[in-house]
Amino acid sequence: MIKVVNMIPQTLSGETNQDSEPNLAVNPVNPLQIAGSAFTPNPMGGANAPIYVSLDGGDTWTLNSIVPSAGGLGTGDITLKFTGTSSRLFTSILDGTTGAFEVHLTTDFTSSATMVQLESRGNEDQPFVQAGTVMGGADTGKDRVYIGVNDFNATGGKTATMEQTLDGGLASPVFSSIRLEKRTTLGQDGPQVRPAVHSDGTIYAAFMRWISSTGSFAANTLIISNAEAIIVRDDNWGKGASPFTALTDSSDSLAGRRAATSLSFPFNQTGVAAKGQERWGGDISIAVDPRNSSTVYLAYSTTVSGVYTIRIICSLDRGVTWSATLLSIANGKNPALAINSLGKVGLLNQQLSGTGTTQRWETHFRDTINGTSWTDVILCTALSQSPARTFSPYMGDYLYMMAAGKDFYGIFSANNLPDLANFPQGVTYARNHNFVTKKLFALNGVTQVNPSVDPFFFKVTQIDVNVKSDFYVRDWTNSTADHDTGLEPSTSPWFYVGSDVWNQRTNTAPTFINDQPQNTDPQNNATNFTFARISRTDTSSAETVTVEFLVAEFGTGSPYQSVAVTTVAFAAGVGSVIVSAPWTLNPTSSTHLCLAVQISTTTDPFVAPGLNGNTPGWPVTDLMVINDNNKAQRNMSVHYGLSGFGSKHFAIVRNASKQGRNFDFKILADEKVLSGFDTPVIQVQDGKPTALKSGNIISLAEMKPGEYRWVSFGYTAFKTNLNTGLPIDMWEIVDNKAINGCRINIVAATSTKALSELLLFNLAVFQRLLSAFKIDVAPDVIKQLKKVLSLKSITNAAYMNLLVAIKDPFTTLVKQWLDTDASNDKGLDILTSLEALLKFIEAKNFGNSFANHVTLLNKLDIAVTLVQKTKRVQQKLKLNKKKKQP
Amino acid sequence: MSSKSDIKKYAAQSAFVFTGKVIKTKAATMQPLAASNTIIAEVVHIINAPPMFTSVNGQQITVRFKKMPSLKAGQLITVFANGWVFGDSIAVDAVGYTEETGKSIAAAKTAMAGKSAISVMVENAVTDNKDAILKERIDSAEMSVVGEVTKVKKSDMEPTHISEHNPLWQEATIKVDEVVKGKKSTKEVKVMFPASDDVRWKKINKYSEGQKGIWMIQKGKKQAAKGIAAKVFAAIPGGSDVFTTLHQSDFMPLNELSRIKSLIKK
Repeated sequence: MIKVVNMIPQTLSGETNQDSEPNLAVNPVNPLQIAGSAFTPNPMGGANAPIYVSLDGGDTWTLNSIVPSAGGLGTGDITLKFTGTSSRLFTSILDGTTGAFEVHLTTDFTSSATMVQLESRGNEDQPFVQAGTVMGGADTGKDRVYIGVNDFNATGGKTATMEQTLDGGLASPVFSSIRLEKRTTLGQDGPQVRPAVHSDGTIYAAFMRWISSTGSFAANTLIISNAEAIIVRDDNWGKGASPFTALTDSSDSLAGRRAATSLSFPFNQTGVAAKGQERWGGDISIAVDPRNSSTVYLAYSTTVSGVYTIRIICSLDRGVTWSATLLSIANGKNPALAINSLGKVGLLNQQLSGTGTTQRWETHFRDTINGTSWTDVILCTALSQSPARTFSPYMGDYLYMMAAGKDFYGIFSANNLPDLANFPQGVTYARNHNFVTKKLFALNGVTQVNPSVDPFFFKVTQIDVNVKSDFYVRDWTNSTADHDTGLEPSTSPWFYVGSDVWNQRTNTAPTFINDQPQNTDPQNNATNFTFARISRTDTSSAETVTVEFLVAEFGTGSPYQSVAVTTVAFAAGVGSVIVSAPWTLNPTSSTHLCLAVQISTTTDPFVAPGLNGNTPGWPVTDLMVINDNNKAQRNMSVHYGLSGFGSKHFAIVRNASKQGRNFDFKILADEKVLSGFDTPVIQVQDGKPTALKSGNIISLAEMKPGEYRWVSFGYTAFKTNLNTGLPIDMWEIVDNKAINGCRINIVAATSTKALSELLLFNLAVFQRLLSAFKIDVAPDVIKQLKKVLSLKSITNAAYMNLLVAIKDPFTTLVKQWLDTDASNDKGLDILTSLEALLKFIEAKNFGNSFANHVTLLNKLDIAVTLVQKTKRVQQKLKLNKKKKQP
Repeated sequence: MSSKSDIKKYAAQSAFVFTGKVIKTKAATMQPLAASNTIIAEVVHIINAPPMFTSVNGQQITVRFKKMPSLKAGQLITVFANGWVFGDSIAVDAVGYTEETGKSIAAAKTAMAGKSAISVMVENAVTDNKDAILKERIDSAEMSVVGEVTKVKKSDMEPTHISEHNPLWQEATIKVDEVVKGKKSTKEVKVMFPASDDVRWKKINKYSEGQKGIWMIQKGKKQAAKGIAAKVFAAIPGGSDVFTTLHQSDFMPLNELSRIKSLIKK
């Protein structure tokens, strides 16, 4: 489905400006918020140039004059871009008054406050801004801005330059200049320097290296007779000592791969009638696949048999090798490439057709899923000689298109004659018009207005919600009014904390607090039920969704495996459905795991490849979940306790880095939550307990690559309302940013519920010990546990009787575990906890028996897991060694 | 009631002057804009506006004040403003206003059909402002001449790099018919102008052979910079004998001769 909208508001019906060279930015946090730009003057004059603002997804537009740059025809060159999650809008411009390259910022593009100027420097050309927010790994949450610019201040004619800031969220972000050109030129590169940003930190840039020329620019006869399309790449956000040098050319080992060589094209200073009144010269556009940063598409121009031609090529290996020409468009210019979350490549461009008085400018949208078969629709076709050009460029030296999730959003400038035949996909106008008489009218609706060049917005919706729905699983929920609405990519880096996939031990109706599903950890060797709440953006159709649940058994470090597949039917009018499926957790597995879901319909499949076989973690699998609203994930750990008693709970941290390092994690808890605990302490393996305060950063020194260690959270008592949780979050911190984490949620339960949960957990731990380590007394304890668990309601007395009955085999089991291997204690001091439990059993002290039972089981569980993980690592190392043997 | 000097000051600072009726305070015609310092006003009479907005009469628009004045619904005011937001309605930023005390709406409309006192004051202020600008350019000019372009040729100056924003300087030779200001014996003068039709240079005076008019010829960078975009001023070619006419008022049609002569005398 394609929507085309003339962007001139009704109150500017009388305008006849040449609103050319447009650009567009869609707010990833709210795609209804869109900003546009063009060579549009402030309608009543003034110190600021306007941007176009839409708050309804591009249906209607207003002009907001906030760019501190007002020449007589508005600002000079301008491009704009929102960051990933902060709604901050950056513009890069050539100032309409000074001509200087400038960067501006606003935190609210609807505000009347003038944008803040961040940079200003003369003698640069055609700035082109891209931006993103780090969604995982180091620097999570930081805004990053990349501006390709042709900087004539560069020495040696190496003018292709990247202006970048690695922390665009600062009040005054600091930009640095990086020279991209490493080779000699004819004195400069072409003006087009285009960045492309991928969420995993891969940044590409494309530019035209000018090598030789003939003719004269002043005489409008300049031909760039030899040029190369150069691609540079950085693999870590441009952070290193030598940024944008990751991609070299084999011919000279210099940074910058020659993607296309021996190019030739005119570089006009002004347009001529025969060429549609437009100036032509050296187009280039680049787009990277959000699913895989190795896949990158390039559009460039060259003259083929005397005809200016756009060519499309692609690389599947991070720009190292490039395909043959995938698509060739004669008489085409202004290409804009974008790739959506499904991997579909979109191309927007303008091209001339015909000659003389019937010559037309056509604006095309094409797309392809395989690079070779392209669809082609015309968005606009209008006579090329009308209206007459008032300045160059006629329609623009560039236009723009981007993908937001599955959909493409774009902007182009064209003849605004209100003739529906010129807009084969349809069009809407807010300015006064008559499609029958094909005339424009001034604000009074009477005075006729001559046609001019206007900016047109368009959106290509991949899933026509009038026919089929876009299904999604929420990545986050704060309340019934504030939650994920299916945006791609997700706007929360903490997608694994409160998503709409969760576990229950019974297939009963789930409960929600603040519209958040309440998760319970699974139990081993028993039937659990995975749940997902599936939502959709439109409810008009009846459809069936296939739902696949997956579990990564040991959390980070083990791959997802499919545990259940089911289908769910959506009736027309239904917006969300909760679906569940039974599954069984391996008896040797920890109950602390990652649960995920991926959903599909025939028209809305999850983005391949699926999660199955992929290990949770940044960047590969995390980005799969973040970029695809058909996927969601939850990391689990819930504990049911008795108010008034204390215990210890554990988490495992792993250094996923390939390098040894200090591992920092931050404790975060609401002050109200913390006040619910008496003497809360935190302790790390080989460390001493320290008082827990929210915001504290705890360090695990010198962790080896792949090493696991435990972290404990303990308290002498807690108090909160029944069935209310006290969540404590632990975030892994790198460069002051959280990049991964988990939540320990202590929920106040009735003694019946708490005992049931504890004995189930006891059962799980002992079954693990039996299955994985053949501890021979475990079956006796398991038998008695099952007997008590079969009771309709477990009383305190029944529990105490059980403890008395199992205390000896329990003691034997613990000692066997510790005697098996001296390292099995893992520094947890398991024996001390056993002795404490035995003491309280002897004293018939129910509450403290419960509390110490919890702590002992938590210690055993974590010790077993650490031993299992260590063994797995050792097995993997052995396998690797075998593989390396000749 | 604002003073005459206030009105003159406001008129010089505003592009949109209208008399309107206060419909509602702390409100806006476009909902997101409503604030404690905005009002909805119905435009009764346009006094000065860009051509595109001369037919706003009868429409309700939003007016934002720096500091909310004490206004009541139904009150008649004249607002001096500049553009703010343009959508399905117009919002303007007031630089000043004056109350139309003692007038009924009908009386005001009747008065506006002719020339109200404020209309006259605003028109005079606009004219005075234009005259002041032209006078500054005449005063800044090395000479003011009446003449005709006899030749246009490409400048010898080469740009340091290739950019679509290059000015592409050209030289116009003007045969002088009359010297209004400057050395009376001048018979010919050469003026540099940017021939580029790029968006950066589009609004700068350009000349072709046979073109007649009045030139306020400015010498190098010694001329007054006021009113010339910094990018244009910075691009003025070096050399002591370089003349340009980069300000909009540096070239005037022949029918402005008497006005120019009278300004010279002031």
